Amino acid sequence: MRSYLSLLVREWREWRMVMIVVGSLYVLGLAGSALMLYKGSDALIHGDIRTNWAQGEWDFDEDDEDIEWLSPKEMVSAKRSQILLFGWTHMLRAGVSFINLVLLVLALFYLVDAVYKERADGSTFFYRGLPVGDLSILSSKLLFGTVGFLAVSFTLGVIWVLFAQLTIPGNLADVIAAAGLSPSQVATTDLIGDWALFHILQLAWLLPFAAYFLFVSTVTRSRPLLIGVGVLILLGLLWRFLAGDNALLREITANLDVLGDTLKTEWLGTKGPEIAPGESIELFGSFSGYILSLRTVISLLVTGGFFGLTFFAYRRNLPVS
Amino acid sequence: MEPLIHIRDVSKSYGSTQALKAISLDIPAGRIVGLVGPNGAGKTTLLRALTGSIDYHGHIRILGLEPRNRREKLVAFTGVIHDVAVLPPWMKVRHVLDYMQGVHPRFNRQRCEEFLATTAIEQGKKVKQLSKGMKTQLHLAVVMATDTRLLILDEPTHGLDILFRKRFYTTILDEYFDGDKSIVISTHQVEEVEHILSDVIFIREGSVLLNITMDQLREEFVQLTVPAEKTDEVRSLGPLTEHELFGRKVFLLRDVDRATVEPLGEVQVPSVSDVFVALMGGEA
Repeated sequence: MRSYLSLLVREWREWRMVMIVVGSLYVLGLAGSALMLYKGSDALIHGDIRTNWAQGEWDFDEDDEDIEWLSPKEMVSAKRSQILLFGWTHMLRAGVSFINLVLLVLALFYLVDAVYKERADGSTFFYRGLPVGDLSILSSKLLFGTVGFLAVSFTLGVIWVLFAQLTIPGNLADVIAAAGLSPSQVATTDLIGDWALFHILQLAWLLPFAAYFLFVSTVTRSRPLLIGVGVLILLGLLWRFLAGDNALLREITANLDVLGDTLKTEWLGTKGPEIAPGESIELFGSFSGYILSLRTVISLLVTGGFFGLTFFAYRRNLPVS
Repeated sequence: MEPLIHIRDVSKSYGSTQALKAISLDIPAGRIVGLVGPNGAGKTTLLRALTGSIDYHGHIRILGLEPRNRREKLVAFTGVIHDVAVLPPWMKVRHVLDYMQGVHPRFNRQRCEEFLATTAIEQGKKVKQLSKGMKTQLHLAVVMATDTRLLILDEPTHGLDILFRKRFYTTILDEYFDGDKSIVISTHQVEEVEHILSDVIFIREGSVLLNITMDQLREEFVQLTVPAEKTDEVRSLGPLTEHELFGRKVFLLRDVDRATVEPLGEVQVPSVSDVFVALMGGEA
């Protein structure tokens, strides 16, 4: 256990500067977004009210029929709610989407370099001269490249959610209630719960790709990133040519779509009024339905296959050019 | 009694290049063995096979373990310095020690730090910031602080100056070797290690050319320096090599009766490098 922990610490130490830089930029982004939302929403509301008041007309969302029957005071309040909610939810969405995407890209860079870099600089001989099994070495890399990066994504996302909750101007509950959303949908614990579930599902999606890129890192003689990504694209195109659809490419990018859809429907409140208070939020249709599906089984089988190939290739310690 | 290292028919190819050609060897315990050969002879490949760092065909048993399948167990009792360039360049020195402490049950951090304290190496520096000599010292400190039975050194002093090289081997002898432990040293600079060797193995183009103890080498090979008029008589004994030195002829002979050659001139024990050059056909 101590030995395995040392392997993970080693990976963390090699990548921590990258993580720190990304985390720092993220915090700066948080501060900037909060400032923009706070100042921007106030300016927007006041400017909008002044303009509309002077012109004697209001520019509410035409689809929102309820607003037509509000008194002027209620209309101002509703307008403020609309703008705040729009800004807040989009800040939330942009923040977590961005950090998740950045961490996925970093994981890709990590995985294609994980073994290749050691083969290239000769340090694989140092590591293999120590009493640590190949299985431990490789599984620690796979674990760090998946769970490790997703854990950072989750943590930074949680920070973002908490930050967004704290920086929303005015009384959040009033704003949410005025927008007609179920309070349970935007409770901090629910948001964090969604975020955690999303990462578990993302892990199931990421694992086969991670194992594939680790394999590429173990066998390629040069340019593992180019080869790894290139082969996937070629396979996708070949699939399209042979099968006549984009199923493979869609599957590869499916997770990114799911993130977007989830955020739009669950967090941005576009389905808010349709979900009754206390009703469970269903990601990907259904969490249990997704995780206990054939898709997950295939994911695990592909992961196991690539990991097995990586294990045997790693033992051969193939030279790089 | 099983030898410490037992090698049978070990082969290894890289593409169309055969680096090792069915090598068979036995190395007993308590020896300091020099693995000597020109560049590209297969020394490094053999040592990497011994530590299980690469796959191979054939059979190797070290301390009763097959490196290919039992690398993890084997290297717990084996110290390896492959080359000074194998330490992870991004790691800080203290992280190297942390890592060793975490994964090697026989690593003594205190001993390593004591050793490093005698050098100019700072623990906060990254490996890539160290000079080549410092990297060797660091690697040596790590290996010296690990309780092992076998030490494998692959060109450990390659590219270092004479002071570092001397200090390196002095440290190995003083701090590590105690008669029970064994050392296998690979080098093509044979003159710098021959004084510490108990056995020598010459390797060329993936094959073992000579596997002999230093005592046997001193008995088996003779360097004979004779005046010009004795040249033909010595040539009839079938010398391995001959060259001229200050107007006299110097021959290297193998398996000759000393009593027979002593009357012909001055008999000396040849250096390992002389024997090496003679057997390599002058290519070294």
